[in-house]
Amino acid sequence: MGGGDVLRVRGSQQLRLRLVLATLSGSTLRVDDIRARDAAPGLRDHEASLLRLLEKISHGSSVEINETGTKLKYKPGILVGGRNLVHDCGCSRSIGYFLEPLLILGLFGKTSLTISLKGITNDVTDPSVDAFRSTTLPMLKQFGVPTEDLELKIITRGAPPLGGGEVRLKVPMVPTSLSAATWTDEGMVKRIRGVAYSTRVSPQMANRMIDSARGIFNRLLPDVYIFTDHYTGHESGKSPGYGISLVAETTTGCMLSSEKAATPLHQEGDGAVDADTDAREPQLPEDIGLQAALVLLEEIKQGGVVDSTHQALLFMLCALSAEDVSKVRVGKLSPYGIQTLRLIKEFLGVQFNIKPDPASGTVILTCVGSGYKNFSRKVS
Amino acid sequence: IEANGKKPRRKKGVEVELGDGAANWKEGLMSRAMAIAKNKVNLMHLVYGRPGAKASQSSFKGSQVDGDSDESDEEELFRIRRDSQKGASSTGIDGNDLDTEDCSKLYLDPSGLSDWKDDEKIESIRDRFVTGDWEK
Repeated sequence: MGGGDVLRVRGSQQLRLRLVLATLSGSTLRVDDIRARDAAPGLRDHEASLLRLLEKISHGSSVEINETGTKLKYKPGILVGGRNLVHDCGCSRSIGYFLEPLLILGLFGKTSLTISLKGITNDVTDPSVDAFRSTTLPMLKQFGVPTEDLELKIITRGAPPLGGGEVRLKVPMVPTSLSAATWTDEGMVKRIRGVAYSTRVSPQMANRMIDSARGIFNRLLPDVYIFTDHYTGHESGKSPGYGISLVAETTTGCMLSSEKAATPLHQEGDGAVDADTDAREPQLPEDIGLQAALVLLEEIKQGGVVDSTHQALLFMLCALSAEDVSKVRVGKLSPYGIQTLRLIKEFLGVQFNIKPDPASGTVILTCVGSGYKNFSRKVS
Repeated sequence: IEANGKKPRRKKGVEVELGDGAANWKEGLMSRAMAIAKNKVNLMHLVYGRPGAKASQSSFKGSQVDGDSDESDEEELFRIRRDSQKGASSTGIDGNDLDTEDCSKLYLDPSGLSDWKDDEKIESIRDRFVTGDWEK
């Protein structure tokens, strides 16, 4: 692994991908001015938790944080993966926040990774564990990762604010490197599947969400099936909650997802911000089902082989694949996707060729992979 | 993603057919104009910045300049920083906010969603489904 060079960046934006890219490239990362002008400066709980998680899956990494938490120095070690690891993700962000970087890092470990993550399984800000299972994991097949070895098992549900959920993630390591992908045929939507979960509330909530979502799709497609997933007892976490996660599968095997969850029924803390989110977010199960369905139609309309949430991961996988040309098609570039493209250029030196396709209103991205090899394995 | 004031580079010659259909050129004018308008944004420049211009290149790295120091309120010792949580736009493409929330999920405003109960809207994405026209 390289090393020696220090990458200096500012602000807390894109911290996850910066840490991932620094770890993979073996360079020290120095982040300054982390929320330096905020009323509550410094790293947040979930960011500190992510750093602890990185230490768990690697050997010899070191993290230095200054007193106020506004400066961070991260020196990556060797990714080792590991078996039967356990990590408590806390309750400030959901497990989805941790799964995204963990998936990429898990692929380049010394051994395969098996880890239990505890915390919030579904919330409004991050991709849920359901979407991760139905949409994110199948994406890796395009890059030559065997999907049989990938697994995400939901053991207990945990809704915000108290969480109490647990999932078990299994990621195989890549023997040498990811293969480049030519993935531009998005196909046509052939079926829509989904999960409506409810925990510590009436099981009827799930049915109400399903009914309103189905009402939208039935005019377009007969093959719509949404499962109900009701949790009781110790499997239901610590807080009540419900939500729906939908996925559209196309004839070429692309997955487009959308999801919506109820905001916590009993908000803790002060009123100002919470009242604001309450006013914005729907609470009725019918509204949640309806909105998830509408968002999915928006994603389908935009086109592309992945939905807007998965653009960043798609670009990362393209840039990390073998030294060959990858070509992918996405709908409208999302702000997070654009930021990721910039980060990839900064850290890996991979620049994408981005061309709009006016006929379908999509964007085609082409790049030559960085030829990243699984160094951790070679060392052993 | 908005166009950053670039003039359309490509202007395709309009094919004018003479004869009885002299006004044929008007057909599809809208769609042609839309195609040109879409090409107007150079996505490479939008994402990576213009090759010559240094300003946009450095802006995403976060060279934020705060002009709040030279205001004439020296008698006040303490000033409250503006609340970055509320003022910040959630997009963060232009890099004005260093501390954009690190979240891959795109938040679509429910009120901004189209009304998909409308028949025309439903038909407009019919061909994206297997129930639509396979030729397209």
